[in-house]
Amino acid sequence: MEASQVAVGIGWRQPHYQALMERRPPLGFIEVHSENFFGDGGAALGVLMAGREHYEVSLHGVGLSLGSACGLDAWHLDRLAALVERVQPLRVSDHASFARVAGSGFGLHANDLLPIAFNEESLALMVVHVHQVQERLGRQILVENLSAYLAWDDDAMAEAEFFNELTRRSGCGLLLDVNNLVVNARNRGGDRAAAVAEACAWIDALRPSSVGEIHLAGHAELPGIVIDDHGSKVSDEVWRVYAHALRACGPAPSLIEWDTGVPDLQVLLDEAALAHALLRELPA
Amino acid sequence: MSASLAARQRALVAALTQRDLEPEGLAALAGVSGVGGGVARGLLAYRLNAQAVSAKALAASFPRLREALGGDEFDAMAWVFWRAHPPLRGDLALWGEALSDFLAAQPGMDGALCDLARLEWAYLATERAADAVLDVASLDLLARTDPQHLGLRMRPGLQLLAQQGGPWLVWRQGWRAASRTLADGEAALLLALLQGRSLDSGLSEAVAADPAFDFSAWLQIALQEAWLQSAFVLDPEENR
Repeated sequence: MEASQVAVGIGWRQPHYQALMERRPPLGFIEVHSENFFGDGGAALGVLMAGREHYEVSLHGVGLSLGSACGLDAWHLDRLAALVERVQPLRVSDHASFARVAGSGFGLHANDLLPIAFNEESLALMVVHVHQVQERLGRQILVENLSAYLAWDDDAMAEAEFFNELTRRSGCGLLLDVNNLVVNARNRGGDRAAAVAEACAWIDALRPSSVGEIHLAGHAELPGIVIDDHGSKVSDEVWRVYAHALRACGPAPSLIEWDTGVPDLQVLLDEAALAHALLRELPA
Repeated sequence: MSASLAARQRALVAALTQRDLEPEGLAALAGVSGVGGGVARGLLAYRLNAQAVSAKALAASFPRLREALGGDEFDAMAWVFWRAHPPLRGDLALWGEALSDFLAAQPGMDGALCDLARLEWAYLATERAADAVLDVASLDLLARTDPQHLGLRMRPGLQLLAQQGGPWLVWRQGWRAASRTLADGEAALLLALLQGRSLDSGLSEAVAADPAFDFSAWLQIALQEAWLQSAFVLDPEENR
Protein backbone atom coordinates (compact mmCIF):
# COMPACT_ATOMS: atom_id res chain seq x y z
CA MET A 1 0.00 0.00 0.00
CA GLU A 2 1.51 3.34 -1.03
CA ALA A 3 2.10 5.88 1.72
CA SER A 4 0.24 8.54 -0.26
CA GLN A 5 -2.87 6.36 -0.31
CA VAL A 6 -3.04 6.17 3.48
CA ALA A 7 -2.35 9.88 3.95
CA VAL A 8 -4.76 11.65 6.26
CA GLY A 9 -5.07 15.41 6.37
CA ILE A 10 -7.11 18.18 7.90
CA GLY A 11 -8.79 21.23 6.44
CA TRP A 12 -6.52 24.11 7.46
CA ARG A 13 -8.68 27.07 8.45
CA GLN A 14 -7.80 30.49 9.81
CA PRO A 15 -8.33 29.61 13.53
CA HIS A 16 -5.59 26.97 13.18
CA TYR A 17 -3.06 28.90 11.08
CA GLN A 18 -0.87 29.65 14.07
CA ALA A 19 -1.45 26.48 16.07
CA LEU A 20 -0.52 24.20 13.18
CA MET A 21 2.67 26.10 12.44
CA GLU A 22 3.67 26.08 16.09
CA ARG A 23 2.96 22.40 16.71
CA ARG A 24 3.62 20.96 13.26
CA PRO A 25 1.94 17.62 13.95
CA PRO A 26 2.63 14.84 11.45
CA LEU A 27 -0.08 14.96 8.74
CA GLY A 28 -0.24 13.47 5.29
CA PHE A 29 -1.41 16.80 3.87
CA ILE A 30 -3.40 19.93 4.63
CA GLU A 31 -6.25 21.20 2.51
CA VAL A 32 -7.33 24.81 2.05
CA HIS A 33 -10.14 26.52 0.19
CA SER A 34 -8.61 27.85 -3.01
CA GLU A 35 -10.71 31.02 -3.13
CA ASN A 36 -9.29 32.25 0.18
CA PHE A 37 -5.93 32.68 -1.54
CA PHE A 38 -6.91 34.43 -4.76
CA GLY A 39 -5.26 37.73 -3.80
CA ASP A 40 -2.08 38.86 -5.54
CA GLY A 41 -0.19 38.82 -2.25
CA GLY A 42 -0.63 39.53 1.43
CA ALA A 43 -0.75 37.68 4.71
CA ALA A 44 -3.04 34.81 3.70
CA LEU A 45 -0.80 33.78 0.83
CA GLY A 46 2.24 34.24 3.05
CA VAL A 47 0.77 31.88 5.63
CA LEU A 48 -0.15 29.31 2.99
CA MET A 49 3.34 29.33 1.52
CA ALA A 50 4.82 28.98 5.00
CA GLY A 51 2.57 25.97 5.57
CA ARG A 52 3.63 24.60 2.20
CA GLU A 53 7.21 24.42 3.47
CA HIS A 54 6.15 21.81 6.03
CA TYR A 55 3.15 20.03 4.50
CA GLU A 56 1.82 18.85 1.20
CA VAL A 57 -1.16 21.05 0.28
CA SER A 58 -4.38 20.21 -1.53
CA LEU A 59 -6.45 23.02 -3.06
CA HIS A 60 -10.18 22.50 -2.63
CA GLY A 61 -12.43 24.97 -4.42
CA VAL A 62 -15.98 25.97 -3.67
CA GLY A 63 -16.56 28.44 -6.48
CA LEU A 64 -15.67 27.05 -9.90
CA SER A 65 -19.34 26.33 -10.50
CA LEU A 66 -18.62 23.43 -12.84
CA GLY A 67 -22.32 22.80 -13.49
CA SER A 68 -23.35 26.32 -14.49
CA ALA A 69 -25.13 26.55 -17.83
CA CYS A 70 -23.63 30.02 -18.37
CA GLY A 71 -20.10 28.59 -18.43
CA LEU A 72 -17.02 29.00 -16.30
CA ASP A 73 -15.76 32.36 -15.09
CA ALA A 74 -12.46 32.91 -16.93
CA TRP A 75 -11.29 35.20 -14.13
CA HIS A 76 -11.86 32.46 -11.55
CA LEU A 77 -10.00 29.91 -13.63
CA ASP A 78 -7.09 32.31 -14.14
CA ARG A 79 -6.80 32.92 -10.41
CA LEU A 80 -6.93 29.21 -9.70
CA ALA A 81 -4.28 28.51 -12.32
CA ALA A 82 -2.00 31.14 -10.77
CA LEU A 83 -2.49 29.63 -7.32
CA VAL A 84 -1.82 26.12 -8.58
CA GLU A 85 1.35 27.35 -10.26
CA ARG A 86 2.49 28.96 -7.02
CA VAL A 87 1.53 26.21 -4.56
CA GLN A 88 2.16 23.10 -6.69
CA PRO A 89 -0.56 21.27 -4.77
CA LEU A 90 -0.94 17.57 -4.25
CA ARG A 91 -4.50 17.63 -5.55
CA VAL A 92 -6.98 20.18 -6.93
CA SER A 93 -10.70 19.71 -6.45
CA ASP A 94 -14.12 21.35 -6.60
CA HIS A 95 -17.76 20.29 -6.58
CA ALA A 96 -20.43 18.94 -8.92
CA SER A 97 -22.57 22.01 -8.38
CA PHE A 98 -23.59 25.33 -9.85
CA ALA A 99 -23.66 28.85 -8.39
CA ARG A 100 -23.01 31.18 -11.27
CA VAL A 101 -25.82 32.42 -13.47
CA ALA A 102 -25.79 34.91 -16.32
CA GLY A 103 -27.35 38.29 -15.79
CA SER A 104 -26.69 41.86 -16.65
CA GLY A 105 -22.96 42.45 -17.05
CA PHE A 106 -21.05 39.28 -16.28
CA GLY A 107 -23.55 37.56 -14.03
CA LEU A 108 -24.05 36.67 -10.43
CA HIS A 109 -22.37 34.12 -8.18
CA ALA A 110 -24.57 32.66 -5.44
CA ASN A 111 -21.51 31.42 -3.52
CA ASP A 112 -23.26 28.19 -2.59
CA LEU A 113 -23.07 24.59 -3.79
CA LEU A 114 -26.38 24.33 -5.63
CA PRO A 115 -27.45 20.97 -7.04
CA ILE A 116 -27.20 19.94 -10.66
CA ALA A 117 -29.49 17.52 -12.43
CA PHE A 118 -28.25 13.98 -12.91
CA ASN A 119 -29.01 13.62 -16.59
CA GLU A 120 -27.25 13.59 -19.94
CA GLU A 121 -27.50 17.35 -20.53
CA SER A 122 -25.96 18.16 -17.20
CA LEU A 123 -23.32 15.46 -17.60
CA ALA A 124 -22.26 16.78 -21.01
CA LEU A 125 -21.94 20.28 -19.55
CA MET A 126 -19.87 19.06 -16.62
CA VAL A 127 -17.57 17.07 -18.92
CA VAL A 128 -16.90 20.16 -21.07
CA HIS A 129 -16.15 22.29 -18.01
CA VAL A 130 -13.96 19.68 -16.32
CA HIS A 131 -12.00 19.33 -19.57
CA GLN A 132 -11.63 23.10 -19.71
CA VAL A 133 -10.27 23.25 -16.16
CA GLN A 134 -7.95 20.28 -16.58
CA GLU A 135 -6.53 21.69 -19.80
CA ARG A 136 -5.95 25.09 -18.19
CA LEU A 137 -4.31 23.60 -15.10
CA GLY A 138 -2.48 20.89 -17.00
CA ARG A 139 -3.53 18.28 -14.48
CA GLN A 140 -6.38 16.08 -13.32
CA ILE A 141 -8.91 17.50 -10.89
CA LEU A 142 -11.23 15.74 -8.46
CA VAL A 143 -14.95 16.52 -8.36
CA GLU A 144 -16.92 16.13 -5.13
CA ASN A 145 -20.45 14.82 -4.64
CA LEU A 146 -22.78 17.24 -2.84
CA SER A 147 -25.16 17.29 0.03
CA ALA A 148 -28.33 18.68 -1.56
CA TYR A 149 -31.59 19.96 -0.11
CA LEU A 150 -33.33 20.24 -3.48
CA ALA A 151 -33.33 18.02 -6.55
CA TRP A 152 -34.25 18.45 -10.19
CA ASP A 153 -37.30 16.62 -11.49
CA ASP A 154 -35.51 15.58 -14.67
CA ASP A 155 -32.88 13.49 -12.92
CA ALA A 156 -32.49 10.53 -15.22
CA MET A 157 -29.65 8.53 -13.74
CA ALA A 158 -28.47 7.52 -10.31
CA GLU A 159 -25.93 9.89 -8.79
CA ALA A 160 -23.22 7.21 -8.60
CA GLU A 161 -23.77 6.39 -12.27
CA PHE A 162 -23.48 10.10 -13.08
CA PHE A 163 -20.07 10.24 -11.38
CA ASN A 164 -18.95 7.02 -13.07
CA GLU A 165 -19.70 8.61 -16.44
CA LEU A 166 -18.21 11.98 -15.48
CA THR A 167 -14.92 10.44 -14.38
CA ARG A 168 -14.81 8.12 -17.37
CA ARG A 169 -15.57 10.77 -20.00
CA SER A 170 -13.54 13.65 -18.53
CA GLY A 171 -10.68 11.80 -16.87
CA CYS A 172 -11.29 13.56 -13.57
CA GLY A 173 -11.36 11.70 -10.27
CA LEU A 174 -14.08 11.56 -7.64
CA LEU A 175 -13.68 13.31 -4.33
CA LEU A 176 -15.99 11.08 -2.34
CA ASP A 177 -17.65 12.90 0.56
CA VAL A 178 -19.10 10.16 2.73
CA ASN A 179 -20.74 12.64 5.10
CA ASN A 180 -22.71 14.07 2.17
CA LEU A 181 -23.97 10.59 1.31
CA VAL A 182 -25.30 10.12 4.83
CA VAL A 183 -26.82 13.62 4.96
CA ASN A 184 -28.64 13.04 1.66
CA ALA A 185 -29.90 9.64 2.74
CA ARG A 186 -31.17 11.03 6.05
CA ASN A 187 -32.94 13.88 4.25
CA ARG A 188 -34.61 11.40 1.94
CA GLY A 189 -36.26 9.99 5.03
CA GLY A 190 -34.01 7.14 6.06
CA ASP A 191 -33.27 6.49 9.70
CA ARG A 192 -29.63 6.15 10.72
CA ALA A 193 -29.31 2.49 9.85
CA ALA A 194 -31.12 2.93 6.54
CA ALA A 195 -28.90 5.92 5.72
CA VAL A 196 -25.78 3.84 6.25
CA ALA A 197 -27.16 1.10 4.00
CA GLU A 198 -28.15 3.60 1.31
CA ALA A 199 -24.74 5.31 1.40
CA CYS A 200 -22.93 1.98 1.21
CA ALA A 201 -25.05 0.95 -1.78
CA TRP A 202 -24.17 4.28 -3.44
CA ILE A 203 -20.49 3.45 -2.99
CA ASP A 204 -20.94 -0.09 -4.26
CA ALA A 205 -22.28 1.34 -7.52
CA LEU A 206 -19.08 3.35 -8.08
CA ARG A 207 -16.14 2.54 -10.27
CA PRO A 208 -13.70 1.97 -7.35
CA SER A 209 -10.64 3.28 -9.16
CA SER A 210 -12.28 6.68 -9.66
CA VAL A 211 -12.00 7.69 -5.99
CA GLY A 212 -9.07 10.09 -5.54
CA GLU A 213 -9.79 11.37 -2.04
CA ILE A 214 -12.37 10.96 0.72
CA HIS A 215 -13.85 13.74 2.84
CA LEU A 216 -15.15 13.23 6.37
CA ALA A 217 -17.06 15.83 8.39
CA GLY A 218 -19.83 16.30 10.90
CA HIS A 219 -23.43 17.30 10.26
CA ALA A 220 -26.23 18.89 12.27
CA GLU A 221 -29.54 17.18 12.91
CA LEU A 222 -32.22 19.88 12.97
CA PRO A 223 -35.98 19.40 13.22
CA GLY A 224 -37.05 17.92 9.90
CA ILE A 225 -33.70 18.34 8.13
CA VAL A 226 -30.07 17.29 8.40
CA ILE A 227 -27.55 19.99 7.44
CA ASP A 228 -24.01 19.41 6.25
CA ASP A 229 -22.50 22.11 8.44
CA HIS A 230 -19.01 20.69 9.11
CA GLY A 231 -19.52 21.75 12.70
CA SER A 232 -19.09 18.62 14.81
CA LYS A 233 -17.23 15.34 15.07
CA VAL A 234 -17.73 12.71 12.39
CA SER A 235 -20.80 10.69 13.31
CA ASP A 236 -20.75 6.94 13.92
CA GLU A 237 -22.80 6.42 10.77
CA VAL A 238 -20.30 8.32 8.66
CA TRP A 239 -17.39 6.35 10.14
CA ARG A 240 -19.19 3.14 9.18
CA VAL A 241 -19.71 4.36 5.62
CA TYR A 242 -16.07 5.45 5.47
CA ALA A 243 -14.87 2.00 6.54
CA HIS A 244 -17.11 0.50 3.86
CA ALA A 245 -15.71 2.89 1.24
CA LEU A 246 -12.17 1.83 2.09
CA ARG A 247 -13.08 -1.83 1.77
CA ALA A 248 -14.99 -1.29 -1.47
CA CYS A 249 -12.69 1.16 -3.23
CA GLY A 250 -9.36 0.59 -1.54
CA PRO A 251 -7.29 3.08 0.45
CA ALA A 252 -7.54 6.75 -0.51
CA PRO A 253 -6.16 9.97 0.97
CA SER A 254 -8.69 11.13 3.55
CA LEU A 255 -9.52 14.50 5.04
CA ILE A 256 -11.19 15.76 8.20
CA GLU A 257 -13.14 18.96 7.47
CA TRP A 258 -14.40 21.35 10.16
CA ASP A 259 -15.69 24.77 9.13
CA THR A 260 -18.30 25.88 11.68
CA GLY A 261 -17.45 26.49 15.33
CA VAL A 262 -13.90 25.29 14.73
CA PRO A 263 -12.61 23.60 17.92
CA ASP A 264 -9.09 23.17 19.25
CA LEU A 265 -6.66 21.76 16.71
CA GLN A 266 -6.26 18.62 18.82
CA VAL A 267 -9.90 17.68 18.19
CA LEU A 268 -9.23 17.56 14.45
CA LEU A 269 -6.00 15.67 14.97
CA ASP A 270 -7.84 13.08 17.06
CA GLU A 271 -10.40 12.64 14.27
CA ALA A 272 -7.57 12.34 11.76
CA ALA A 273 -6.00 9.62 13.94
CA LEU A 274 -9.27 7.66 13.82
CA ALA A 275 -9.30 7.84 10.03
CA HIS A 276 -5.68 6.78 9.94
CA ALA A 277 -6.41 3.78 12.14
CA LEU A 278 -9.13 2.62 9.75
CA LEU A 279 -6.81 3.03 6.78
CA ARG A 280 -4.13 1.02 8.56
CA GLU A 281 -6.55 -1.82 9.23
CA LEU A 282 -6.89 -2.49 5.51
CA PRO A 283 -5.09 -5.59 4.25
CA ALA A 284 -1.82 -4.74 2.50
CA MET B 1 -26.16 24.75 -23.75
CA SER B 2 -29.93 24.77 -23.55
CA ALA B 3 -31.62 27.99 -22.61
CA SER B 4 -34.02 26.07 -20.41
CA LEU B 5 -31.25 24.78 -18.15
CA ALA B 6 -29.81 28.27 -17.84
CA ALA B 7 -33.28 29.69 -17.15
CA ARG B 8 -33.98 27.07 -14.50
CA GLN B 9 -30.69 27.75 -12.77
CA ARG B 10 -31.44 31.48 -12.81
CA ALA B 11 -34.88 30.83 -11.34
CA LEU B 12 -33.42 28.80 -8.47
CA VAL B 13 -30.84 31.45 -7.64
CA ALA B 14 -33.53 34.15 -7.82
CA ALA B 15 -35.76 32.15 -5.47
CA LEU B 16 -33.00 32.14 -2.87
CA THR B 17 -33.10 35.90 -2.64
CA GLN B 18 -36.84 36.54 -3.03
CA ARG B 19 -38.55 37.96 0.00
CA ASP B 20 -41.47 35.53 -0.01
CA LEU B 21 -41.03 31.86 -0.67
CA GLU B 22 -44.77 31.27 -0.99
CA PRO B 23 -46.43 31.25 -3.41
CA GLU B 24 -44.58 33.32 -6.05
CA GLY B 25 -41.14 31.93 -5.29
CA LEU B 26 -42.25 28.36 -5.71
CA ALA B 27 -44.30 29.02 -8.84
CA ALA B 28 -41.17 30.11 -10.67
CA LEU B 29 -39.37 26.94 -9.74
CA ALA B 30 -40.74 24.48 -12.23
CA GLY B 31 -38.75 21.28 -12.26
CA VAL B 32 -37.40 21.45 -8.73
CA SER B 33 -38.43 19.14 -5.95
CA GLY B 34 -37.53 18.89 -2.31
CA VAL B 35 -35.35 16.21 -0.81
CA GLY B 36 -37.55 14.80 1.93
CA GLY B 37 -38.87 18.04 3.40
CA GLY B 38 -40.38 19.64 0.29
CA VAL B 39 -39.28 22.54 -1.91
CA ALA B 40 -39.96 25.26 0.67
CA ARG B 41 -37.85 23.50 3.27
CA GLY B 42 -34.99 22.97 0.82
CA LEU B 43 -35.11 26.58 -0.31
CA LEU B 44 -35.10 27.72 3.28
CA ALA B 45 -31.97 25.68 3.99
CA TYR B 46 -30.13 27.34 1.10
CA ARG B 47 -31.49 30.77 1.96
CA LEU B 48 -30.42 30.53 5.60
CA ASN B 49 -26.98 29.49 4.43
CA ALA B 50 -26.78 32.45 2.04
CA GLN B 51 -27.88 34.74 4.86
CA ALA B 52 -25.17 33.38 7.15
CA VAL B 53 -22.57 33.62 4.39
CA SER B 54 -23.52 37.24 3.68
CA ALA B 55 -23.04 38.23 7.33
CA LYS B 56 -19.80 36.30 7.72
CA ALA B 57 -18.25 37.52 4.48
CA LEU B 58 -19.13 41.15 5.03
CA ALA B 59 -17.95 41.04 8.66
CA ALA B 60 -14.59 39.69 7.49
CA SER B 61 -14.16 42.66 5.16
CA PHE B 62 -15.73 45.37 7.35
CA PRO B 63 -14.96 44.51 11.00
CA ARG B 64 -14.92 48.10 12.27
CA LEU B 65 -18.18 48.94 10.52
CA ARG B 66 -19.74 45.90 12.20
CA GLU B 67 -18.51 47.17 15.54
CA ALA B 68 -19.92 50.63 14.83
CA LEU B 69 -23.33 49.38 13.67
CA GLY B 70 -23.70 46.54 16.16
CA GLY B 71 -23.75 42.87 15.22
CA ASP B 72 -27.50 42.40 14.70
CA GLU B 73 -27.96 45.54 12.62
CA PHE B 74 -24.87 44.76 10.58
CA ASP B 75 -25.94 41.18 9.87
CA ALA B 76 -29.39 42.31 8.78
CA MET B 77 -27.84 44.98 6.58
CA ALA B 78 -25.51 42.37 5.04
CA TRP B 79 -28.47 40.31 3.84
CA VAL B 80 -30.24 43.35 2.38
CA PHE B 81 -26.99 44.33 0.67
CA TRP B 82 -26.52 40.76 -0.65
CA ARG B 83 -29.91 40.89 -2.32
CA ALA B 84 -29.40 44.40 -3.70
CA HIS B 85 -25.79 43.90 -4.84
CA PRO B 86 -25.15 40.15 -5.05
CA PRO B 87 -21.61 38.80 -5.41
CA LEU B 88 -20.34 38.63 -8.96
CA ARG B 89 -17.38 36.35 -8.30
CA GLY B 90 -16.71 33.14 -6.44
CA ASP B 91 -14.22 34.97 -4.22
CA LEU B 92 -16.26 36.62 -1.49
CA ALA B 93 -13.42 38.93 -0.53
CA LEU B 94 -14.29 40.80 -3.72
CA TRP B 95 -17.87 41.38 -2.59
CA GLY B 96 -18.47 44.72 -0.87
CA GLU B 97 -17.11 47.41 -3.15
CA ALA B 98 -20.57 48.93 -3.50
CA LEU B 99 -21.22 49.01 0.25
CA SER B 100 -20.23 52.63 0.88
CA ASP B 101 -22.50 53.87 -1.92
CA PHE B 102 -25.25 51.52 -0.73
CA LEU B 103 -25.01 52.98 2.77
CA ALA B 104 -24.93 56.54 1.41
CA ALA B 105 -28.25 55.87 -0.35
CA GLN B 106 -29.94 54.89 2.92
CA PRO B 107 -32.07 57.69 4.42
CA GLY B 108 -30.49 59.33 7.46
CA MET B 109 -27.22 57.43 7.14
CA ASP B 110 -24.28 58.93 9.01
CA GLY B 111 -21.69 60.00 6.44
CA ALA B 112 -18.90 58.86 8.76
CA LEU B 113 -20.11 55.26 8.38
CA CYS B 114 -19.91 55.57 4.59
CA ASP B 115 -16.35 56.86 4.97
CA LEU B 116 -15.55 53.94 7.27
CA ALA B 117 -16.92 51.46 4.71
CA ARG B 118 -14.80 53.08 1.98
CA LEU B 119 -11.73 52.97 4.20
CA GLU B 120 -12.19 49.30 5.16
CA TRP B 121 -12.71 48.32 1.54
CA ALA B 122 -9.44 50.07 0.69
CA TYR B 123 -7.75 48.22 3.57
CA LEU B 124 -8.91 44.90 2.18
CA ALA B 125 -7.65 45.65 -1.34
CA THR B 126 -4.34 46.89 0.04
CA GLU B 127 -3.80 43.82 2.20
CA ARG B 128 -4.43 41.54 -0.81
CA ALA B 129 -2.16 43.51 -3.14
CA ALA B 130 1.01 41.98 -4.57
CA ASP B 131 4.00 41.86 -2.25
CA ALA B 132 6.73 44.29 -3.29
CA VAL B 133 9.94 45.74 -1.92
CA LEU B 134 11.74 48.99 -2.53
CA ASP B 135 13.98 48.98 -5.59
CA VAL B 136 16.85 50.79 -3.90
CA ALA B 137 19.05 50.92 -6.98
CA SER B 138 16.38 52.76 -8.95
CA LEU B 139 16.57 55.70 -6.53
CA ASP B 140 19.81 56.76 -8.23
CA LEU B 141 17.58 58.06 -11.01
CA LEU B 142 16.38 60.81 -8.68
CA ALA B 143 19.82 62.42 -8.78
CA ARG B 144 20.54 62.03 -12.46
CA THR B 145 17.24 62.29 -14.32
CA ASP B 146 15.33 65.39 -15.32
CA PRO B 147 12.10 65.34 -13.24
CA GLN B 148 10.19 65.91 -16.47
CA HIS B 149 11.22 62.42 -17.54
CA LEU B 150 11.08 60.72 -14.15
CA GLY B 151 8.22 58.75 -12.66
CA LEU B 152 7.82 57.33 -9.16
CA ARG B 153 6.02 54.01 -8.79
CA MET B 154 4.11 53.48 -5.55
CA ARG B 155 3.83 50.11 -3.79
CA PRO B 156 0.93 47.91 -4.96
CA GLY B 157 -2.25 48.61 -3.04
CA LEU B 158 -1.41 52.20 -2.14
CA GLN B 159 -4.47 54.33 -2.83
CA LEU B 160 -5.95 57.75 -2.29
CA LEU B 161 -9.45 58.09 -0.87
CA ALA B 162 -11.73 61.09 -1.07
CA GLN B 163 -13.20 61.14 2.42
CA GLN B 164 -15.53 63.70 3.95
CA GLY B 165 -12.73 65.21 6.02
CA GLY B 166 -10.33 65.45 3.09
CA PRO B 167 -7.93 63.14 1.26
CA TRP B 168 -6.74 59.93 2.94
CA LEU B 169 -3.93 57.61 2.03
CA VAL B 170 -4.12 53.82 2.49
CA TRP B 171 -1.02 51.70 2.10
CA ARG B 172 0.52 48.49 3.36
CA GLN B 173 3.07 48.20 6.12
CA GLY B 174 4.19 44.59 6.21
CA TRP B 175 1.03 42.50 6.07
CA ARG B 176 -1.27 45.17 7.49
CA ALA B 177 -2.89 48.22 5.91
CA ALA B 178 -2.23 51.64 7.41
CA SER B 179 -3.92 54.96 6.73
CA ARG B 180 -3.66 58.64 7.49
CA THR B 181 -4.94 61.99 6.31
CA LEU B 182 -2.92 63.82 3.69
CA ALA B 183 -2.03 67.48 3.37
CA ASP B 184 -3.19 69.03 0.11
CA GLY B 185 0.31 69.14 -1.39
CA GLU B 186 0.98 65.46 -0.61
CA ALA B 187 -2.37 64.46 -2.06
CA ALA B 188 -1.76 66.41 -5.27
CA LEU B 189 1.68 64.84 -5.78
CA LEU B 190 0.47 61.31 -5.08
CA LEU B 191 -2.50 61.68 -7.37
CA ALA B 192 -0.25 62.76 -10.23
CA LEU B 193 2.22 59.94 -9.58
CA LEU B 194 -0.53 57.31 -9.36
CA GLN B 195 -1.81 58.60 -12.70
CA GLY B 196 1.63 57.86 -14.16
CA ARG B 197 2.56 61.50 -14.66
CA SER B 198 6.09 62.84 -14.27
CA LEU B 199 7.60 63.94 -11.00
CA ASP B 200 7.89 67.44 -12.44
CA SER B 201 4.19 67.53 -13.20
CA GLY B 202 3.38 66.15 -9.76
CA LEU B 203 5.55 68.72 -8.04
CA SER B 204 3.86 71.53 -9.94
CA GLU B 205 0.48 70.24 -8.74
CA ALA B 206 1.79 69.89 -5.19
CA VAL B 207 3.17 73.43 -5.02
CA ALA B 208 -0.01 74.79 -6.55
CA ALA B 209 -2.00 73.09 -3.79
CA ASP B 210 0.47 74.00 -1.05
CA PRO B 211 3.16 76.61 -1.83
CA ALA B 212 5.19 75.39 1.19
CA PHE B 213 5.32 71.80 -0.07
CA ASP B 214 8.76 70.27 0.63
CA PHE B 215 9.62 67.35 -1.67
CA SER B 216 12.70 66.27 0.31
CA ALA B 217 10.67 65.92 3.48
CA TRP B 218 7.93 64.07 1.58
CA LEU B 219 10.45 61.68 0.03
CA GLN B 220 11.85 60.81 3.43
CA ILE B 221 8.37 59.95 4.69
CA ALA B 222 7.58 57.99 1.52
CA LEU B 223 10.66 55.85 2.11
CA GLN B 224 10.10 55.42 5.83
CA GLU B 225 6.43 54.46 5.45
CA ALA B 226 7.03 52.12 2.49
CA TRP B 227 4.93 54.09 0.02
CA LEU B 228 7.55 54.11 -2.70
CA GLN B 229 8.50 51.08 -4.80
CA SER B 230 10.81 52.50 -7.46
CA ALA B 231 11.84 55.40 -9.65
CA PHE B 232 11.74 54.95 -13.41
CA VAL B 233 12.37 56.83 -16.61
CA LEU B 234 9.12 57.68 -18.32
CA ASP B 235 8.50 56.70 -21.89
CA PRO B 236 8.85 60.06 -23.70
CA GLU B 237 5.91 59.20 -25.96
CA GLU B 238 3.62 58.56 -23.00
CA ASN B 239 4.71 61.73 -21.23
CA ARG B 240 3.67 64.17 -23.92
